[in-house]
Amino acid sequence: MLTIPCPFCGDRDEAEFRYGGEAQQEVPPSGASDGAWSDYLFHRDNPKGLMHERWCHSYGCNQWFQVVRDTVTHRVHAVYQVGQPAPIADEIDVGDVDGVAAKSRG
Amino acid sequence: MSSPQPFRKAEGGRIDRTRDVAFTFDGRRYLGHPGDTLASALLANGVRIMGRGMKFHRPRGVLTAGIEEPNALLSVDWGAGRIPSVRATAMPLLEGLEGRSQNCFPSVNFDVGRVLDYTRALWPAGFYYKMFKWPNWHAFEWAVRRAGGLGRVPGGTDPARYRHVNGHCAVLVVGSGPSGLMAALAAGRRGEDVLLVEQDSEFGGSLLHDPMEIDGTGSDAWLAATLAELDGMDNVRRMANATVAGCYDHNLLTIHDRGAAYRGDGGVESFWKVRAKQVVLATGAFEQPMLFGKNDLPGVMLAGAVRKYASRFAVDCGRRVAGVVNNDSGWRALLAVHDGGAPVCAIVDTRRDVEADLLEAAGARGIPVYRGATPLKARGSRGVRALRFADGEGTVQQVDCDVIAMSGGWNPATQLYSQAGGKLRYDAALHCFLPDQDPAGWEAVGAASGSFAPGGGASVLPSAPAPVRTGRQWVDFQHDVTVADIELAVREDYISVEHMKRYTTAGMAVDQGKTSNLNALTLLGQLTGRTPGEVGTTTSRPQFAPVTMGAIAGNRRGDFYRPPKLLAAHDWHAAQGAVFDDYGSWKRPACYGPDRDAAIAREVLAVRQSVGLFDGSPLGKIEVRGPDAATFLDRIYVNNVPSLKPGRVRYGLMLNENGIVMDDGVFVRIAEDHFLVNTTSGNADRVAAWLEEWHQCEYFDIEVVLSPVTSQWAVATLAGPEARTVLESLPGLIDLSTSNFPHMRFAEGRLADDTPYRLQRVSFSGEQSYELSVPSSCAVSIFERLRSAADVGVVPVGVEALMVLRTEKGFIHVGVDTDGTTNPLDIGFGGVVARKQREFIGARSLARPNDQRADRRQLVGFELLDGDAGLAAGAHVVTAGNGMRSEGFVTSAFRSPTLGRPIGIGLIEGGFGRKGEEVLVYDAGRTTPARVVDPCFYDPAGERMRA
Amino acid sequence: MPDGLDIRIEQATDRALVSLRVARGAAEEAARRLHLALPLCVAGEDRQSLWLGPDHWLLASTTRAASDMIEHCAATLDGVLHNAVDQSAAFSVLRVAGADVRGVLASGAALDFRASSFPPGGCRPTRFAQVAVAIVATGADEFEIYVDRGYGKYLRDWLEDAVLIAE
Repeated sequence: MLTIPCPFCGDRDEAEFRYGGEAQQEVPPSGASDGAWSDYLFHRDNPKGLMHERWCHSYGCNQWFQVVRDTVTHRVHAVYQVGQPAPIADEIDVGDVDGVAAKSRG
Repeated sequence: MSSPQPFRKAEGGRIDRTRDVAFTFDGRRYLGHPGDTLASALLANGVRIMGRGMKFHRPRGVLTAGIEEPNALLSVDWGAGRIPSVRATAMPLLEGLEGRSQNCFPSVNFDVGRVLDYTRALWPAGFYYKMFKWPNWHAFEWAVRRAGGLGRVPGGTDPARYRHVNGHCAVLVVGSGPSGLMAALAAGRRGEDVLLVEQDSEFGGSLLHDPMEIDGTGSDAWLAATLAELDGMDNVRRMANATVAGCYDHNLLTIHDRGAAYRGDGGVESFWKVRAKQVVLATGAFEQPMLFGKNDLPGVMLAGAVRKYASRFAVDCGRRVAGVVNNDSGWRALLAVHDGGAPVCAIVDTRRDVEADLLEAAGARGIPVYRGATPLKARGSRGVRALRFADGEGTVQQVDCDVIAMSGGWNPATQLYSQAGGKLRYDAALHCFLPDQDPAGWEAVGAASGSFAPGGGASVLPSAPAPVRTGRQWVDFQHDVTVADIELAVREDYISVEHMKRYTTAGMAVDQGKTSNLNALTLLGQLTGRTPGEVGTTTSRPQFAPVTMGAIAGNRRGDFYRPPKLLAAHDWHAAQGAVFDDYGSWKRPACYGPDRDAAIAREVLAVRQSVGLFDGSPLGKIEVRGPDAATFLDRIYVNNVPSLKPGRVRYGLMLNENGIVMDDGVFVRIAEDHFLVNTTSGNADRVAAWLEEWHQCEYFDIEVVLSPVTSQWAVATLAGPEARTVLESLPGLIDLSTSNFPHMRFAEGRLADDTPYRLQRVSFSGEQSYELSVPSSCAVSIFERLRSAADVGVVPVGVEALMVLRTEKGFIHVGVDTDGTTNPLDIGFGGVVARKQREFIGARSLARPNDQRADRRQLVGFELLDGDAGLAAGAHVVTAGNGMRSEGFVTSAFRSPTLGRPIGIGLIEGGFGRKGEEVLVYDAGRTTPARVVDPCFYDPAGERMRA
Repeated sequence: MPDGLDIRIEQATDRALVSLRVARGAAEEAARRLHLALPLCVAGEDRQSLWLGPDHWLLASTTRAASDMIEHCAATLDGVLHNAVDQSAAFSVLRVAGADVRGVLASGAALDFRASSFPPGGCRPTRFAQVAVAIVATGADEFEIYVDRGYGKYLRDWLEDAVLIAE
């Protein structure tokens, strides 16, 4: 069970949230090819390591926001609001997310 | 009345001798004392056979004195219902407890299942897998299922109660031995919020049976002082009889807390879910068995356990003890047992080099010592009678004894650490696996970290594993896995530790290999020329120790399993004779009256002939307001939204991005910038979330606010030729005449009594129909007023009748008549899609060639050629001469009370072009001829609903 | 838990409720004009506001009608896109109070109910006993739980059962 730091409500249990998959999926323009449209609908990077993803605090403030999570350790490196630029991985301050233990694995 | 406890020492132990605790085992009555475990009390009474092995049904006694016990699993009832497979070694002795042996027939002392032992050549490792292939698993399944397994699931309703509790703490200390107590004390003194959890009934861990000096004082005094100091701290909580069972992501730990349950008086078991910032692992280590022939005989025990029974429970496990060890801790346990009054007759050590002080101590006590020796075999049939071994010169010797106390070294209890993602490393000197890379927030201390003496010195240095001796030496006691089984696995090339585990089932029993994994993987390494470190360990998963199923379920049973959502007029419906069913999260009237079919038919005919009253309150209602409301909804719906005039209603379809029909319903333009979206009842929350997601995440240019108002409004739907007459009896409504208020119109206002209302003229039944919304608090009064209105008999109508009515009209129910492949073209909305020139969600997907194919499954109606046969939803449509290939299926089917014959709608390949064609409907082994027709069976021109 | 828990559960009735949703970007302006509650808080006395999200409040009053509150919003928020709707019949409000209340509530939600994390004046939209609620700490040992009226009976039964088995 993940503890997710909602930018509006603070640390909450994963059971209060709805998962929205990888963030930054750009909707292709209306004239896009079938292939581009299919990529948008079905293909995801599914990275091992840092992933930018969308969550909605559906049982709380009902707001969508974005999370940078390590898919190996589940460590949450950052949260940011929709429409804000994604923090670049190198610039993420490992100490900025309270409540989620952040001790680097050797 | 105290019956003698022949193996209870005259004095000592942490038991309360002033009181007796009465209990039974297999129907016989015994006495023990408060402070006993079930195992210590049975041993005190001379009971040695407590169970039977799972596979060969060999007699089994107690091996350990703790949570790791593989053998002494009993079925136990202390007044909270019978619980199978309880470890007698971890079960506090409670007054009136009834214990029963398991896995034996007719009795634990004489079990006919033992025949499996004598025919063991037929049941090698992996015999299940082999039998699956040859000769025939099904011929054996019945017998195997009866003979295998442990315990029996109790029947009936569990009388015990369970609850879940959530907790938070800064530091969770798992285990209360000296290291755990020191960690708790330090964190407590720092002012941190500490939770100290102990699986035993008492705090103190090894100090309870292995006293030592701490900080210059005796450990008993230190323990008392430490517990008193912890009790004085408001920031420290402690729990006994509570097992940390699982560790999940972000340090969520589960604790199975039986403290209250063991206190009796209807106390409940609690299942804690604790989020800890830091975890201190002070779980100690598990002593490992030695391998020698028949090491599973009752009387063969771990040396530390023999000592614990003697010291903590004042119980002699036997009269004459032989020791089989490979490390110093075994010696110290044997010396303590000897000093406690149970003579040790031999110490057989596989090492040649032993510390001088240990040799001196043994010599002073006259205990014969055999160094560099090899234990060969325990002798006896239902209990140990002797130990046979080869001494350092290779001469085979035998000593008579009734207990063999063995110590094969210690392996830290790192299960939780591994669950948390911690990495282990093999330590060759200690011959065990130690915590190596701490998971975030974790720290292992004391024996759990490989520091086997609180002083820090390495007190346990086992010899390297002895060379493999083949044969029936038990590795996994509970699953009856022997050295020979692991050899067989290696011969058959199952040399990965994961494969060996599954093939032999070593470590897969309820004890999860706490006393067997190390021996199994060491053997596997020896047989394949690898070190234990190279072989590696298998993955540790929750639960660390068995957890009652009820504790995991908590109070989620009955109505609490899935929260029932009740209509505001629930009691009113009940008074009308409603039969309630679950529809999504709602409990709604399915029909009114006990005879379902008759009630549904009566309700359908009432709507067709006079008027019915339906509770449509769960209908989703979402207000959309703002200058861009029309633009926003135009992107959400397939249908044209901006062209809708205020006060009017339009039917709309919503798609997901893949072009699949997601929901349908009407939308209302209340004002230029104000819409009301109606969703299907089951999708109210989902559609609200859908609109919210698009608004927040994609349409940044859109200015609207969204307000779900579903629960505020109760909806009374009046449908039937008399609907208007009934509604007109409510004073204060607008002029309802069709000229003023035709089909698909909306109005709002206040009734004469000032109750606010919203009214829309829409129809899901095909009859003249009005949906009247009033605040939910007025639901009962409005239903009652409408039902008793005028001279017309208003009939309450349930969900099932409505399903029949809409099927007669060929109106789809999204999710029933559509599935995850249905696009709007498939259900006849091609024209609407083609006319809409603007973008909407899913539009791009509809342009894909696959979405345009003519042979997609399309919505049609079915009527039977043989009028009396039934038509069932889910039946497949096949064509003669096509190999019975399914071309689609019936999605809704009823016997229409209106038409007096079966009707159905469904999706079949290329359906639009097949009207009039004869097909076969296949259901439950029967094929029935049917004709493909238009899905609308009743009033296709729609004159009745516009009347 | 000791025998006989100190906890009382009762239905709070007769309060008018208005859900106020404002356009994105307008929340600060709306909060300033209407003196609305800060995040995770409840504010006001005669007309309480419960924070439900960054652009969402629930207004509650035992003295004013919902229609009055809606008109007040309209007048005060002139020029600010918002939707204020009567929700008086949409919620069931349970008041739970007593020395043992935080322990019992901890059975229902993963929320940290310790006074240090959830002091009086706090408002937490959350998931409790599987359903969406808003919990308001009205005092040191007093809470009000707002739940969809369809779950009102369920939640009351659930709380009474939780008290029973915690005893």
